[in-house]
Order: sequence, then C-alpha cells, then structure tokens
Amino acid sequence: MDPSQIEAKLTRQIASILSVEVKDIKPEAPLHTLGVDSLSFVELLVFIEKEFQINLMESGLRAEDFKTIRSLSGRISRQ
Amino acid sequence: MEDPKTSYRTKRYLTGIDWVVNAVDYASKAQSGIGNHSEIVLELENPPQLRTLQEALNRFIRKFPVLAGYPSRALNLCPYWKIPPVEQTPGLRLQIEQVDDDSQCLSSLANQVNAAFRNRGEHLVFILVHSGGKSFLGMVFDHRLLDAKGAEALLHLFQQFYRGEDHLQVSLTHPAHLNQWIEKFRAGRQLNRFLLKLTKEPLRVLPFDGRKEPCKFKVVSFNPDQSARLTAAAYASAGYLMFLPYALAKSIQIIHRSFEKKGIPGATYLIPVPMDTRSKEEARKESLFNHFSFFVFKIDSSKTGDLNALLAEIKKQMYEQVKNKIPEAIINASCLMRIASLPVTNFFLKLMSKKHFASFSFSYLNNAYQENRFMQAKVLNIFHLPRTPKPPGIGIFFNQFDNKLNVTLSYFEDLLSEEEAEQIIKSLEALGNEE
Repeated sequence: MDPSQIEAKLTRQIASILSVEVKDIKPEAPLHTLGVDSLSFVELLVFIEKEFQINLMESGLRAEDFKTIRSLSGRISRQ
Repeated sequence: MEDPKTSYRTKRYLTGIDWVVNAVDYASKAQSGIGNHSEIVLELENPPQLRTLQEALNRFIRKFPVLAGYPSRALNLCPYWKIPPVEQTPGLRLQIEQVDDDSQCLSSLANQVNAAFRNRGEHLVFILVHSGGKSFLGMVFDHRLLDAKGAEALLHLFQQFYRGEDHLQVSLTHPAHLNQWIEKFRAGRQLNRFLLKLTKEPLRVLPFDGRKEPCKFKVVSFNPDQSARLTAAAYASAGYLMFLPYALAKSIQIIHRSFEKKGIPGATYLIPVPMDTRSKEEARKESLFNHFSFFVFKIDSSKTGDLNALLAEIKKQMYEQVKNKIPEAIINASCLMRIASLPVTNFFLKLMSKKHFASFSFSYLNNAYQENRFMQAKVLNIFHLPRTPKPPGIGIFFNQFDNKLNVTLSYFEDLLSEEEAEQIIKSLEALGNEE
C-alpha cells in the first residue's frame, strides 16, 4: 500500500482514539505531543495488526520508526 | 448566581467501578477505621494567603455541593451519590502546620492521610505545611469521590474557578446502566475466565495481620535531568512511549529482590495497573468519581531477572489485554456488582481473587494538573501519597509533573521494616542515574 494511504488511515484512527478532529492531527508531529500515551499507542498497534496484518509490538518500537505518523507509515509500507 | 448545570441535580448514579471502590473503602474502614484515602501534594514556591484560600475553598464547595455528598441506593436498586442542597453544604476543612525543618514536612502530610474523615459528607481535607524553606499544600481525598487523575483535575478546576472563569464543566450526568444485560453478563464471563487464569498459581504477597498501623510513605523526586534520563532509558529498553511497562518492570525487579530477602513464598506476582480508557476531552469533562479500568499483569517470579524478557512479557500482556478488550470487560462486568450490598460485594471481590487482589499496587499518572500555579503561587512539583489498602498494603506510584518524575513508596508499618523500605526507595532513586 502507498505510504500516503497508510498515513491517511493512521491519521483517522489516531483522531478516533484521541476523540479529536482529523484536521488537528499533524502527520509530522511526534505522537506524544498529540496526546498519545502508552495505552493509546498500544490501541494504535492493535489497529495496525487488524488493518495491515502486521504485529509491531514485538519489533522493538524504536523511536525513529514510531515517533510520527509519517515515520510509522513508512515503517508499515516497508514491511 | 448558581450555575443551573450543577445546582439542580440531587443524584449521580455510581458506575460498577465506583461501587468496587466503595467496597474497598468499606473493607478498609472495617479493618482500620480509615477509608480508602489518598493525598495529592503540591510543592509551592510560597504559601497562598490563608484567608483567601479558605474563602475560595468554601465558595468552591458551594458551587459544587456534590463534593459533600454520600452514597445511597435508588428505588431501581442502582447505587447513587446523593448530592446535598447547597445550603446544607459545609465549608472545606483547611489545616495549617508549621514544622521545624523540611524533613518533617512529609510526616505531617502523611499524618493527615492516615486520619479518618469527620462525617459521611466530608471527602476532602486540605493541609498547608510550612517549614523554613518549603511550603506544601496537601489535599486528602476520598477515592469514592475521585481517582488520582480526577484529584489533579479537580485542583485544575479549582484554579479555573479561582481565576473566575465561566463555563466550568463538571459532568454529573451518568446513566444508571440498567440495560444491555447480556453484554454485561458476557463481559462477566470473559472476566471470570481471565481471572481464573491469573490466580492458578500461589501469589507472592506480604503477610499481614489485623494491626491498625499507619500507612507510611517515602518519596523520590527526580530532577528534570534525571527524569529525562529515566524516560530515555525507558524508550531505549522498552520502546517509544513505553514508560509504563519500563517503570513496572523495574518496580517488579525491585519488589522481587525485597520479597526474596524476606522469604515471601509464592510463584507469581499479580499487579493490577489502573488506566483511563477515556479520551483527554472526556477526562476533562468528567473529573469526579472513578473512571479507570485495569490492566492485570501476571509475572512468573522466576522470570524477573532478565529485564528484556520481563519487558517483552509485560508488553505482550498489555497488547493482548487491549486486543481482547479486557479493560472494557472490567468496566462492564463491574456493573453487575452493584446489585449487592457493600459487604457482599467485598466478599465476592475476595472470592474472585482468592482473598488476594495483588502482590503490590502500581500506577503511573502523567501531567493531569495542567497549570503551573495554584492560586498566585508557582507550583514547583506535584506528588501523591496513596494509602494502599491491605491486601496488598504496599504500592509504587509514579507521576509526572512539568518534566519532573516522582515515585512514591506506600506501605504499612507491619509489612516492611524501615530498613527494608529504605532499600526499596534507594533502588527506585537509582533509576534516575541509570544510563
């Protein structure tokens, strides 16, 4: 899947988890500045498994791959 | 003029989690005469003016008389919180203590959380402790009215009230949840199966007797550098945003060393970790009462030595519980408990967990007080002193305020000696210096 399509899906899901408008979610902003915490991050990982059939929980969760929606989309598209 | 949003309501239905908290309060009172209390402490740059503070507190409780309510049961059998009329709402109690040096501040604050409330409508007491160099404002709160996050949010609400802001939001509308019973029974069945798996092996818990000892506290406040180092170590070892699993893993290792030295038998550790499933916006609107659910972690005591393996196990369990919606099942299933009286609810809770709820308590609370001032005074730090009910009677509680992490060890005197508690807190303190 194209990284921009993945990015759009992740943005919608994070907006839903955080109960905010999609327009308020910046794909290049670090997730913790958007209000994502351990729990909402794990909820996002569960969504990724259901949507893209990838379990990332055991991947090490390195900040450079997971810090923003954009980097995460790149990580998923490379999988 | 009274705000119609808050003045006309006379009841707020209790959720299942609220009822479980009421049962824990009942058990704590039966055991020690003191309810399930906690205290939030603000370290202030300088103390607020006493008269202004007392007046503001009295105006605040009259604005929100729900703070002086008490539990009751409706004709539909659903328990609720009875909200008294404004004219029957007493003022909030504020105590002042001057101590000789900084080291006595903590014991003064701890004394307050070990004291019973004076009547059924008292759920908040404020204490201002000064020493030569420091000022602390403590708010002792009844967990039936507030969870820890709610306590920070209530102080935030007070600050907004003090500034004279309009449209203060306190949602007191909560449905009785007397429908969708099939869903609740399914959640109950799911939870029962989950708990059966957790409690197969004997748990490691500190043995306690019926002594009515006070709860004691030790607190470590990490400076911003140490806090940044600790967070970086957590992200490097556990992954991005995985501070909670890291802090829990380190706490398990520290508790394990202490239990080993004490010769505590058992095969597993069981640790319930409260978490709020709501969004920030929902949490902002509903600060009163209890809105948390739990993760419950079961860790084989033979697997505590390897940090990476321990982190992998905690993260795996966290992931599985989110995936299987266990926190939601706990919320739904707890609604079934409300039909029972408090002694019966308490009996069932003990039965479900084979008389032991946990090896130790643990929580991590992140920046719920979103102010840098309390009245006019600059807030230097915030920490919590939760009176951990027995069992387990011991808990480790992390919180963060303004880039500063704190950790509190809460324990009963009959469970840990001063030396044992000192060893635990020194190990926790050392986390701030790990690379």
